[in-house]
Amino acid sequence: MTTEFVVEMKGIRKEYPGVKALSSVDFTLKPGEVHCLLGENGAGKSTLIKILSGAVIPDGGEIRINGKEEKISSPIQARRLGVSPIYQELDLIGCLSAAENIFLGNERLKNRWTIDWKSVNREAQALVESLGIQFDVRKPVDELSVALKQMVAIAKAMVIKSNILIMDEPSAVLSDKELEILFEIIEKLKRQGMGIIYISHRLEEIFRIGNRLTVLRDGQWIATRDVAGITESEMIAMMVGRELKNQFAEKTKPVGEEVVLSVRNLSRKGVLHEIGFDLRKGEILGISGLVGAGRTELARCLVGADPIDSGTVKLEGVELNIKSPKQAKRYGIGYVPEERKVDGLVLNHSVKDNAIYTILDKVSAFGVLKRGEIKSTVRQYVDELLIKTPTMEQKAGNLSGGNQQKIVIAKWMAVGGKVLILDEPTRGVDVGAKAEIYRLIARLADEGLSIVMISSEIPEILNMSNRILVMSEGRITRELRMEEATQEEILRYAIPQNLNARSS
Amino acid sequence: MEQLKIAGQRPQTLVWSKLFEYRLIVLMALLIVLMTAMTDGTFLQWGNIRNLLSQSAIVGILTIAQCLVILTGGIDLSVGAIMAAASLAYVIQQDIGLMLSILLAVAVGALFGAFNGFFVTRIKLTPFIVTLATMEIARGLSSTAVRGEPIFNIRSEFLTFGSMRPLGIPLQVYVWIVLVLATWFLLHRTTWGKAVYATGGNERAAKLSGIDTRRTKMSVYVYAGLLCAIAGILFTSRLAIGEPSAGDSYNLDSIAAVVIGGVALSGGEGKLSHAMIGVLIFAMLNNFMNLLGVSPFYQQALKGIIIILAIYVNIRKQGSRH
Amino acid sequence: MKSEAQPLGNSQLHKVTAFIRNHNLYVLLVLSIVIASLLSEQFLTYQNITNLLSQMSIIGILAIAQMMVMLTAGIDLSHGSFIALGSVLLATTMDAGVPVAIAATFGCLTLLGFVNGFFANRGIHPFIVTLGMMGIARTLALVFSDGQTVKVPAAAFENIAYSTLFGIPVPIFIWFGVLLIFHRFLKYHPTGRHIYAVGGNQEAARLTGINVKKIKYVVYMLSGFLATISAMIYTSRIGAALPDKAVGYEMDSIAAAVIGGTSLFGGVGAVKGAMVGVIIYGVISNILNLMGVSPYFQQFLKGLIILAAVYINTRGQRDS
Repeated sequence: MTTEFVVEMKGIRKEYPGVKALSSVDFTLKPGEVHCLLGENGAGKSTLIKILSGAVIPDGGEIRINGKEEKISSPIQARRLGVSPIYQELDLIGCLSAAENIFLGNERLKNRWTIDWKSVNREAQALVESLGIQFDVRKPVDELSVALKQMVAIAKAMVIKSNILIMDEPSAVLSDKELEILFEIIEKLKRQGMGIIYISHRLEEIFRIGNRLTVLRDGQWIATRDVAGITESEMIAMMVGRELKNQFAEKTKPVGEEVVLSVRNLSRKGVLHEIGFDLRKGEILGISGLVGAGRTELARCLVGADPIDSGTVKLEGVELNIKSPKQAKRYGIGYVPEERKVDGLVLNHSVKDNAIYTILDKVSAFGVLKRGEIKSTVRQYVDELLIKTPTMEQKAGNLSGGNQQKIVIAKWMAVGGKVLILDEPTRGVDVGAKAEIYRLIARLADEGLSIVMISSEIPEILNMSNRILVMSEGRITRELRMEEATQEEILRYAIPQNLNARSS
Repeated sequence: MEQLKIAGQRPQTLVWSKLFEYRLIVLMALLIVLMTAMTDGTFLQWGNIRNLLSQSAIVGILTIAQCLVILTGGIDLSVGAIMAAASLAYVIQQDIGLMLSILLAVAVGALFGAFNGFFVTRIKLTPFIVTLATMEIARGLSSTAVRGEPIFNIRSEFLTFGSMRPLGIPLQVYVWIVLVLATWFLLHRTTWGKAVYATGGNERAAKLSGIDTRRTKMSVYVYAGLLCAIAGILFTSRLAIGEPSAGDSYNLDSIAAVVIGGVALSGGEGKLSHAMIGVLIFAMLNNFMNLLGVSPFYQQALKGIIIILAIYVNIRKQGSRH
Repeated sequence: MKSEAQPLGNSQLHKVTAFIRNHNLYVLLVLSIVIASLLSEQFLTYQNITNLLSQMSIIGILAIAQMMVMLTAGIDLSHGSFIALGSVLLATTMDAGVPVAIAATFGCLTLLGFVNGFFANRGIHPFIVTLGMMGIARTLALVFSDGQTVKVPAAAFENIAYSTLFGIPVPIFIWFGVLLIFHRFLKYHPTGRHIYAVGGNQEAARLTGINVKKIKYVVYMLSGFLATISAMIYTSRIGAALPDKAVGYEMDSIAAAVIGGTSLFGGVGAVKGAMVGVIIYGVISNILNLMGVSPYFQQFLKGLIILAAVYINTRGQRDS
């Protein structure tokens, strides 16, 4: 084995129940290079770097660090091997100063009981300045901007003599000026022999600092190429090129004429900017975009889970002021959240209980529950949606992902509302249940329910939607009719643009 | 019967886990057998059992309150203090008559409950610090109101609740049972009860499902305050004394009973009936130790040890699920 | 590059309020001293101040312990019972000699602190653990003393509380000595800094290689250790061990620590704050006594103060 590579990953496999996160992926990193990792949401990028940083244990494959084979079983071990992930807040202790964070665990000591603060501050300041930054390292990390926090994390990695840095979408939170400084630092680090794995969707960045790039798609390794000589269209093609299997369902009835939901100028500081769209009766409106585009934030604002700063929401022509999910539900707007285990279900409670948390007032009289009605209602949905569970008393946490998702959808179907927002409805769901959920969505739309479907799976959006909105950085960048919608088009508008290139 | 989703386990371990699930009943049965044997049958005499029940009644009512609060994911360290405050309010101005005194006591309980609820739901401070502070506040106010002197002068009409013994059993036992049944009904047969469990089980999911978690929690604290007030009235009626420091140890007792009953401190899980069994188990242990002549000092330690061990066991059980 | 978020105040008023907010602790201290001296001419006398400080030393030392436990996002409710148990142990073992008594008490309370740490490390919330320990320690106190007051056999023991050095009562020296030692510990010793790290972000601290379990053992054992010192001063003052007294001292140490700016969520707090917090707390108590406010009403106020202090601390954290 040559030691030309600082990291070698061969045949990495990772499977979760019903989902193949990674199938035999290879990845290498040379010292002094920036190797970019590309792919859509769910392509496997985060799983791969989580394996390298010790947060996830692979099911198969081998990893070599500096030529030596290692089994990375914990994040601490990964750090000892020289791997430092630069995530945004993970590794820093806010109440301590930047200098202290940088030297935490490696304090400069005067003697066994005394930290030499003068040295710590001096060396930390020097380190930070060698990266080209000026700020007082004695300030608590809490008071620093996100950009500076990243610098502190980088400085810390240098102190513990890491030679492998992992940066996951660092530019998502930086201004253009801060980004420039970050790039200069990266160049400096490259010259020092640091190997950097860089994940980003901003293709210009990859051209700017990348040496090589690897594209993953659906958990599979697609290609590893030099950045020099590649074009943007080639990159996009590699990211999306796939056959679209026919597991999707089609609506049978046409979309209605009336506008059910009308949103205008919806804004929330720092998150959403002048969002506006119409939703027609029986329509399935797909909302696509990359992580951080603001889609879930939009959903939460529409159902009153988060406050909005300005804008109007009209339901069937009547302007609403929705302050809570409870109000939204009363008006007829429901939300199937992105993370069903955290926001959608009470895992310790039974299927039956979970299914009625949205309709408590419906299945009761003067506050007293009508148990017979509850049983029959839940039974009806369990049968209709083919929810596989031994009994209705089974704890929701014991069901598979697909069946859990069906419970969440069922409880909103029971509300009988007018608008339903689905956030990643088939994430973590096995193929069989996926098909069933697609059929369900199509049927609901046919029955007159207006659906907003947020999804990162481009085939899903392309096949299920009647219309597609693409969001990027808190804005709607494009509305696509189905005739003009292709994978490339969606990705093109989902990718964050330079401020100059942004069109109205 | 619910299927146990424990893949690949041998039959013996299944027996143990079944036993563990019913550990409360098993424990109680064991205790009863043990104690009957060691006291030559004195334990099972009607007089003793009646004593047992009547002594558990007041703590039992406080435990209902504690159980509710814990179900929403909180904890209430002020139950004893609120009980004392309400019991004082009951007899502090006996001139206003029995009815109004009862009303006053109930109002005091509800007010303190609302106080707790306000700081937990609106100011959003952690329940244990809020109720810790309320405990001091309630005790301080109680003591100030009577200038530290317990009230001994109680008119006989105020003591009726304490002297009534239908069928030979003190009234407070009936009140306890009625309250248990009523609360059980509220918890398991009404939308409010479902909201309580949902709020404690997963507040985020409950909120997104349209449940008003803030109002639910507030109502729980107020209800708890009311229960403490009822306990206070019964306490003073029975013991014929209005004491600002009453119920001091009842805090620990109620928490211990709830924890022994397997109610999770994180909320959303557990049965009221189990917490009541916890009350009985404690009362039995106390009774047992008294019969054997064991010093009452040890009982405090025992409670502390039991709380810690019971939680430890619960945590280990949850851990083994993963 | 932007590196901080200071309020952009230009007006004088803004500057003054900002100053008050940043130094609210000291402002409060000065305010309370001023009020006290206005209420009573005897307040600012040498006699009164040394008396007060001497009395405060007991809670003062406990507050340092409580602050350290809170730094790890924990809490210690066993202080009151530890004082009672400590004094009982001292009194009952003193027949074998004062040094033996002191050693035995240190050993016992530190061991109980270890037990607290053990269960806190197993995932049980510290307040439950120390709530249980509160009961256990109180029982031990009652058991070892048979529920009776135990007089301190060695008459010389009273010197701890009553003798003076250069005219200053010894307890003050003890308290300030402890303050200095722990100030240094928390500022310069790696373990002391790691305590902050664990409370500030336990996961990040762990990833840095800090032994989180060890740190928790340290703070709970130190809590027992410091409680012993407090118990010594307490017992020496009274000349006897009262097994059912010293109830609620943990409320005082919590209040003092919180007033001094310690956060219940961990990572924020300083020995300086613990000191000023105790003094403010003590002065307020003194003011209330001077005003003739009953001790019962003071208890009521104590609860309100805790609520207010926690609220202010929480607000301050949310703003940043």
